[in-house]
Amino acid sequence: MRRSIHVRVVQHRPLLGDIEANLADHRARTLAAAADGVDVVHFTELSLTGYALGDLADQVAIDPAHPLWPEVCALSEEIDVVVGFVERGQDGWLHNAAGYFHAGRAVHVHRKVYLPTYGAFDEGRFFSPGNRFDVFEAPWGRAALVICEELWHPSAAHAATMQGAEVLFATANAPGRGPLDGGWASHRAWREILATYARLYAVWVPFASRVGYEEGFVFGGASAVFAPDGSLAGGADFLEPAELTVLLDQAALRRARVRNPAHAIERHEVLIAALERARAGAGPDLGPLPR
Amino acid sequence: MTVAGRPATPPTAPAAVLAPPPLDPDFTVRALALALSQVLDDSKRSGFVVGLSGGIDSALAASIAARAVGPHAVRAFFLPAPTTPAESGVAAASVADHLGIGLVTLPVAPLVAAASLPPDNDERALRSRRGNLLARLRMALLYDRAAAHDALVLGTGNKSEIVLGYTTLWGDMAADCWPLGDLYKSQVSAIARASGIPAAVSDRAPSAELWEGQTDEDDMGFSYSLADRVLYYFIDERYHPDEIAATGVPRPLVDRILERVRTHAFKRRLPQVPKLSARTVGHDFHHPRAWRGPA
Repeated sequence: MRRSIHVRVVQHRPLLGDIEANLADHRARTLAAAADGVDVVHFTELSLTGYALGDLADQVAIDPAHPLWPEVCALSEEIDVVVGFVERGQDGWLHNAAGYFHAGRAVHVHRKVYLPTYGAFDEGRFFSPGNRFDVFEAPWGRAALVICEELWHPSAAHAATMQGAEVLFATANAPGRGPLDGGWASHRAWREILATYARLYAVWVPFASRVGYEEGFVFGGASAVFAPDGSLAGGADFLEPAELTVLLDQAALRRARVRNPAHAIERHEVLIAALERARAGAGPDLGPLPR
Repeated sequence: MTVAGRPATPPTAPAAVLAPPPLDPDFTVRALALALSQVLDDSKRSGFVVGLSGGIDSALAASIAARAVGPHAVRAFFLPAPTTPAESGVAAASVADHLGIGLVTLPVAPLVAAASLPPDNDERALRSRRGNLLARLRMALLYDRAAAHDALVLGTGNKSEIVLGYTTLWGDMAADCWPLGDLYKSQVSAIARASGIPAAVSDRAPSAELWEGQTDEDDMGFSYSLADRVLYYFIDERYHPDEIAATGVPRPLVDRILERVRTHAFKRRLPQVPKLSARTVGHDFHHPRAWRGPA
């Protein structure tokens, strides 16, 4: 990181399918954050549209030619923002996307690679998958955007951090499961996973996770910020809207990386060779089967 | 509870192992109240109507609705049949008092009489028909009062009843929302007790009261405490029937419980639409209930 930044994680409940109302809410929050001296406002997955869109995805999709696109970009005129939206690609396919906006333009757009289409989830029916895990240069350092299901694939965090990400902006729309001990068991698991990434890779991990209710899902909140030593730097409730403002300290990142330099010596070629074998369908060499 | 001749908890079934998990009652109620509040907002209606039977499910559902949208926005109806015991009315009134919600009694008996059901030599079949008619007449009254009060109908079914099919299709199953639909009966009971539902209600034996002396557990031939364990491990934990039996539940009981789940699958789905066009309701026309913005 070239400097420390204040990040405000927004745990909100977007209105399903009402992009104009949600944009107005984003605008009010970013203006307030700018007045408070915050550097980055971090909204949730699909923050401009809500989650359970189904066939509405087509109606709320935006691209640079969309009349609302300049207004989305304008959110970042005074302050950087991470926004979730439905992107209509140039080829016409729809993507569950997140964008990092700075100085009135999109610096980076990430298309969700892993679209959950099992159990209660149906994203693969309505969205096309992305095919890249990239990082980008923000004015203050290097970062990556990681969306919900991707956080259950360690390869996403690995790919981002191996390309130099110092901050993983994690976003989610996750239904709460297991109402236990004053919160959701599911979202305690989320926090364990994110704390592990923060600690393993010595990165800051702000996590914007929505609340509210749509179509049978009670979203589980528990937004948080994890420091590069894996500790919890701030956390929100499991049900109520909240905003968390946390200083992502450049010095804390430096200290964590000095203490834990494991990934400085990562042997990418060993992993790549293993993945090539996996892609070719080769199983592990276990020797002859016992008879 | 023990069903005649059958041990509810077989000696080799360790209850602590084979049971749905305990839930945090207060957090569960908070989450469900949030859900009901949003359901009502999305619907643009002004409240809920609920049939209070004097049993635990409707008491808890009404309690959560009152917490979600305020007691003034919940209207309760007691809909007694000729077979409804007097203590049910007392229990329903105690729940309404406890929650501070209005309660209106609408006897269903005249409607049942007016239907003049054709006789049947099979007394059991006739009893079942009369019971289903009763449930559907109650549904019709609740939907009418919902329309009259610009309200939604609050369902009171729990996960055990829904998956076992111990319900009347388009009767008690007809509702705009099932707040208890992901809670097994034993979890409903625990949450109701923790929520301060009067003991006179929470301690009553579960009964649809569709005929005199009816109890759910006698009808089905197994107890909820046993069924919930089997259902939890089958549905939530994805155990195979053999694995459930291996924990000590007699295999015939496992089979009887899961047979109900299998044969009542039709009650858990909307009516089938044979597909003919490019885009068909129930197949590939997918829109959320809260459909904002242009079509």
